[in-house]
Formats: sequence, structure tokens, C-alpha cells
Amino acid sequence: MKSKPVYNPLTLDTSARRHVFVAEGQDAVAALNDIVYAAEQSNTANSKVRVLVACSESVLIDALQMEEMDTAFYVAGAERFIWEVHRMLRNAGVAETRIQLALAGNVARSVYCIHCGTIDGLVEDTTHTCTRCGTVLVVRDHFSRYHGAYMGVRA
Amino acid sequence: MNEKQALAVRVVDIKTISPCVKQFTLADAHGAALPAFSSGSHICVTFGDGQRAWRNAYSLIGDPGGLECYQIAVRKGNKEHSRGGSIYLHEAINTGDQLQISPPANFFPLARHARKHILIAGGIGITPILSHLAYLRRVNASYELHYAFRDDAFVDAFRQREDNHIHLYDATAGQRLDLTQALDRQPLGTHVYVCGPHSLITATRTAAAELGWPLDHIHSEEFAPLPSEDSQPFTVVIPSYGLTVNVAAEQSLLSALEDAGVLIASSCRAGRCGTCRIHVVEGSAEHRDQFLTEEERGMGLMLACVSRACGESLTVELLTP
Repeated sequence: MKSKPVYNPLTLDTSARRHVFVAEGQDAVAALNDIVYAAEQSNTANSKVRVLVACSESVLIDALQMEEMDTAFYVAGAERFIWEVHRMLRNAGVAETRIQLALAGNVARSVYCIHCGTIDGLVEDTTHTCTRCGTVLVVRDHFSRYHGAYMGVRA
Repeated sequence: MNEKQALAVRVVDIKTISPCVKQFTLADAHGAALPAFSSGSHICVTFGDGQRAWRNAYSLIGDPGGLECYQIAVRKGNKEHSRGGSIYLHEAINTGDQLQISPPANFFPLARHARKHILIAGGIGITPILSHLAYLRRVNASYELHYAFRDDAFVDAFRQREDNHIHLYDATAGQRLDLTQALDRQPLGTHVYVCGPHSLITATRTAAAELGWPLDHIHSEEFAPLPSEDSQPFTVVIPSYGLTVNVAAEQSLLSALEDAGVLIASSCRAGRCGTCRIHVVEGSAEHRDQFLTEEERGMGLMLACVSRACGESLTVELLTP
């Protein structure tokens, strides 16, 4: 399935001068450990490393105000979180090539109910009962980057 | 150009912008509205003096909101390096004359989701930038313009209107555009559009890379490159037409084929759109386009508008449309 995201190992984007790391959860912080270290090692007078852990949406938006065209972003956490941050970064005009995502912690999927538009997180099964409309859903492999969730359709 | 889509237009106004630049206003020959276009678009103008025929691509410089006429600006080439089309437009075309044009096409559009736009122009490279500027002003977008020029300036239009987002650099007065200063400290979501000579585009990309920019935010359009001074003449053979055509040093392969009566669909005529691709059967091409991938080149494709032969001869076939 083409839409199913593939998460490549994080690599330090050496074309950027500043690096911002966004993480939610202990596993995510651990997942970023090596790359934060690499970024700090590459520190020059011009470059800077910022780490934001489990911040709220408003804190992240404020932090983005201070960033300029030379920044690369690394986001780690559960699937729903990383795609939410991805959407915020894209809305702020960050280039797709400057965003790296890492799945960390709970690997359960988020499911978007195509019948009522509800997104339920942490779904571990291939079938799921929508918590809002009660429809029994089959979780398809079709992933929506916009919603950061897999499509759930009536079984 | 697809001949069926060609439009007949009438020159309704000619204005002298500078000693070497004239602005032509074109309206539909039958008084109809012209096709809509987006900023950064160009048209291909076809004209001739009875002996020679030219097809030159020119950017539309007006606000894309206006459809009653198109405006283009033509810089007069010098006699040694030009193919003569711009000289003919300057010297022989008068108000009331008819020309044929292609519908507009755009290979230099604005990034729709950009938060801020930085326009950089060198010389006559200002032409596509003028339509971007008109559009960005109309929709109240955030922009900056950096314009470096010599004797071919559109500056009067800028000096009439106070705008601190516009930065002019007159080379004849020793003023220089500092690209590092222009690109440093720009907010997230900024896109750059640069049009001008190859050296300006390279310098912009280099400065951006040094400042840590992602290069997919740098958009460029090079002038329709005239064959560079080191270009050599060569012969091209088209077996299926039973034709052998000489391509002069100052002529492109595309225009040599057109002069010989071989019509190839073309649009940007500057190595960007890929419309005029042909197949190399024998000999090897010297690729000067910015369109084909290494893989496509390996398969024997080349663009007739800018690429030439390595050596004295090339055998090619046209692709069936």
C-alpha cells in the first residue's frame, strides 16, 4: 500500500544549520538520543540544537516563530502525535524534505472512522468499534497523512 | 506549439522602456478575451519576415487578473549573438500588426503554500518576476524584490511607487546585490524565485545552501539561453525525412529544424519543459537542459531547444506525439 508510511532511521540533516527535536513520551526521547548527540557534536558557531519534549500545540507554534529557513525538524512519538506535528510544521511552511518522523513507543494505530470522522488512537486490532458512532470498522492499510490515521470502513 | 491552439493577436501598443527594451501590448485579433494565465507564465510568439521565421518565448509581464490584453517585454539582442527575432520585433513590428502566439504555459509558478516570497531578478530576467509582483501585491502577500540591472531597466515603474519591499541595484552606479544578506534570517515557509543569467541562479543557490536553506524552496528560470560562445556548428540527419540539416554555431537545433520545415512541438524553448524532446539514434548529445533525468538521457532522449551535438554530426528521430 503506497500510502502506508515508511519510517526511515533518523539521520542528521547536514544541509541545515539548526536542528529542532520534538518528542512525546520516554520511548520517543530515547529514540532521539543518538541523533541529538550527533547534532550537538556538529555544533558550530552558526548552528543550534533545541529539544522540545511533550509540549503543547501552542508551545510548539511559539517555538516555530523563532525558527528560520535553516532549520531541520525531527519528530518522535506515537503515530498520531508525529503526524499532528507534521501537519503543524507543513502549515508553518516547513519543507517536506526538512521533516523526519520516527515511530516510537506504542505502535498501535490511529483509526479514522470514515462514517463520522472520529479518530480513535491506540487501536491494536484490524477491526475496531468506533467510540462515537458505534460502527464496527475494518482498519484498512490506507493511511491519510492529513488525519495521521488509517481509514476505518464499515465491516 | 500545437498549431491548432495558436491564437492570432494584434499589437495594440508599443512602449519604449529603455534604449534596448520595448514593451508590446497584444490583444486578440478578433476582440475576444485571451486565455487566463497564472503569474510566471510565458507565451511563444511566431513571426517572420517572409524569408526567416522565428518562434521566441516571452514571459507575460502583466497582472494575471487582466485578460483583455497580454504584455511582453523584448530585449533587443545584439547582431552577432542574436538569432535576429528580437531585432525584427524592435525594428519592423508596428502597432496594428498581427502576430501568432501560443496559449500561456507556466514552468515558473509561485509556490501556493509559501508564507513569504522573495523575488530575485537580473537584467531582463525581471519579466516573469513582474507578473509575480503584480499578483502578490494584489493578494496582499508578503514579498521582497531584489532587482539587479544595467541598461535594461524597468526601474521607472518602481520609482513611481514607494515600496520598502523593493530593492534596486544599479550596476552602472556600482551597486551590488548581496545574496547572502538578502537570504539570511528569513522566516520558515519562505520561497525564492530567481530569474536571470546562469551566474545569478548559481550564486543564489550557493548562497542559500551556505545559509542552510532547503534547495527545494529555490525556484529558478534561466533566460532562453542563446547558444553560448563556445558552441560549434554541426550537422543533423533525420533518416525518416531523408533530411540533412546544418545547425550554425549561433543557432539552436530546434530552430534549424524549424527553418528546414520540420515542425517539433515546443513550449519554453529554454530546456525546462521537455516538450521538444527527440531521440538520438547515432552520435552523442551534449545536454544543456534542466529537464531530462540521467536515465532518460541514457535512453537516448535530448531536448532540441538547448542541447547540441558532441562532435560534428548527430542522427535523430522525432517522437511520435
